[in-house]
Amino acid sequence: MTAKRSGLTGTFDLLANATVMIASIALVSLVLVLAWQVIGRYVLNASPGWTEPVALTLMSISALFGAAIAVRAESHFSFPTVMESSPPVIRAFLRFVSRLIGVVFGAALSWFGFFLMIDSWDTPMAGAPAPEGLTYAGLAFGGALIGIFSLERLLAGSPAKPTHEGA
Amino acid sequence: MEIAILFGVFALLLVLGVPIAFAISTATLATVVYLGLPPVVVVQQVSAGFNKISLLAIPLFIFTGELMMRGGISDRLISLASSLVGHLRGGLGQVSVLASTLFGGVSGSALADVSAIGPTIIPQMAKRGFSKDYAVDVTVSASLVALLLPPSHNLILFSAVAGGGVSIADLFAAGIVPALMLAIGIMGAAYWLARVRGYPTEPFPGFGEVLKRLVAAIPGLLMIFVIFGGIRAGIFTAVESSAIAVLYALLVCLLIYRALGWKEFWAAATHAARSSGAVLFVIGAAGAFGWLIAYLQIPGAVVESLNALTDDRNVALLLMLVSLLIMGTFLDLAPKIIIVTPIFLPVARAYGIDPMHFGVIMVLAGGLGLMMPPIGSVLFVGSAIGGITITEAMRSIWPFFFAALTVLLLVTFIPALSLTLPAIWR
Repeated sequence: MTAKRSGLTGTFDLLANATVMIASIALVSLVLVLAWQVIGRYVLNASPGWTEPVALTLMSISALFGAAIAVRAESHFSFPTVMESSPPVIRAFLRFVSRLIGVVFGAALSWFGFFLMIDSWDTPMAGAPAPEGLTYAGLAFGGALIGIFSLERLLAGSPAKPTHEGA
Repeated sequence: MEIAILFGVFALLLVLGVPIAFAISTATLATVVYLGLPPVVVVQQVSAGFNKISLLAIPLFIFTGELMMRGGISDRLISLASSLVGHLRGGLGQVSVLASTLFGGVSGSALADVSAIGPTIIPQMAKRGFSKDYAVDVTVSASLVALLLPPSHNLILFSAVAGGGVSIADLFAAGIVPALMLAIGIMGAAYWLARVRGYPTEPFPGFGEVLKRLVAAIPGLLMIFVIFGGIRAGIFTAVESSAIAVLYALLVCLLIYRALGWKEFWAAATHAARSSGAVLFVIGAAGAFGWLIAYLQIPGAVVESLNALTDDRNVALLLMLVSLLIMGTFLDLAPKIIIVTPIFLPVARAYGIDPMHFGVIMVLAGGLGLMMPPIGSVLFVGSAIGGITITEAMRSIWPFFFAALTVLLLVTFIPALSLTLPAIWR
């Protein structure tokens, strides 16, 4: 049971590492794409048209993969006062409900995200030589990861070190 | 009925501790299903919520703040601030305010500000006889200045949610005077409390040393001119300036300060991706929420209700300000901007309130919530750095809170404080 459990934790860890790597690479690529837009305008004297739609796609991938990591760390914006001041049984139930909503929401985001991605795959992206469906890749895959990491929290409980994001 | 479902489900899930993005989406989905619309429309609107060019600047300015925090810029700014105001009453307390203002001017994030300045200044203050609650509170309240200074990602967020027509460059300009007033107000509170408690001052290091530290800090300080000057001069857009800011921060930290290795760079990128993911996820979710608010014509109903109550612009402003302060006690700043702007901005416009002025009020009022429990994320981080509980931190927060509240009231009822600079620079 323990070996099975640690094997599962290891799989989630691997998935989380890959997720954070993709989110970070998308972020760094976003910097390069926007910088190229400025270089194109001033140095090459030709503003590239593909940079904006590609930048938006990269942002949605970085944001949703980053959001999935925040789901795993349970560091999303919330109002935890009532939950934290409840008796342990109620607190555990509220946590269960919250994580279950995460699983359902992630699955729905992924399902409809894939639907929209496939539906618009044959349409060309405005300004870039890529399919329009790519703009929904962040929703489809990021949604799946949000669902998977919510499921992990549902099975494994709270993460070791909660953090807070934002501001 | 549909409005009751939308806000009822949202409020219920929020109180139960469900993450705000999930609470918003579930409430939107429940209402869409009740209205008999296809559920896929919610995902389409979430996608549309992400698809805004101006939002691109948010993750990149968060990334810039992370790089500067890890790359030696904050240390040099603290050193410069120490030589400039360390000899005043409150010594290191004043240093904290000035350092936060300088760092805020280059990072635009209160959380980055308190995370960058706090670990250096709070332990030093404790070592020199300042109580830890004072050290934490002055640092936490000073970090709010960053919310109003370019490149504040909260002002960018407001501009994005406002749906065009509110220029980021103008908003940046509108925040400068209120930010400086806030810095002066907090310095005043720090001075008063230091006098009451008899805290020490630092010796003046001499003009030669001030000059030396200024020269060392200049590459970091130039960031604000690169960003703001670049946008104002029309060299690049606000979004492009965020990418330039990342590259500039890299250049300074890597080549001039030589304080950034591969490990720190990667840590900055991963942390920025996770932090901006949390912010942008709420933005996407709120895209669907905002669409439904417009679909149900809620802003029009709020305007009608307020009109029935008062036709006085100042009374309407006061009512909205009180609502914003109450919401600040249970909603973090970014979600508050995202949720409240689609409802309140049309109301503000109906009363002839300039959207730029309203944006500054919204961000400053939300900032006050960040330094107070139960939501005060900046207070939580500051307390964790200082190694004290929230209850201990609350002991001396009040002078700083009232200083910030006074500035908020002045900014709310004297529009010229936020509208003069944009008019001059336009």
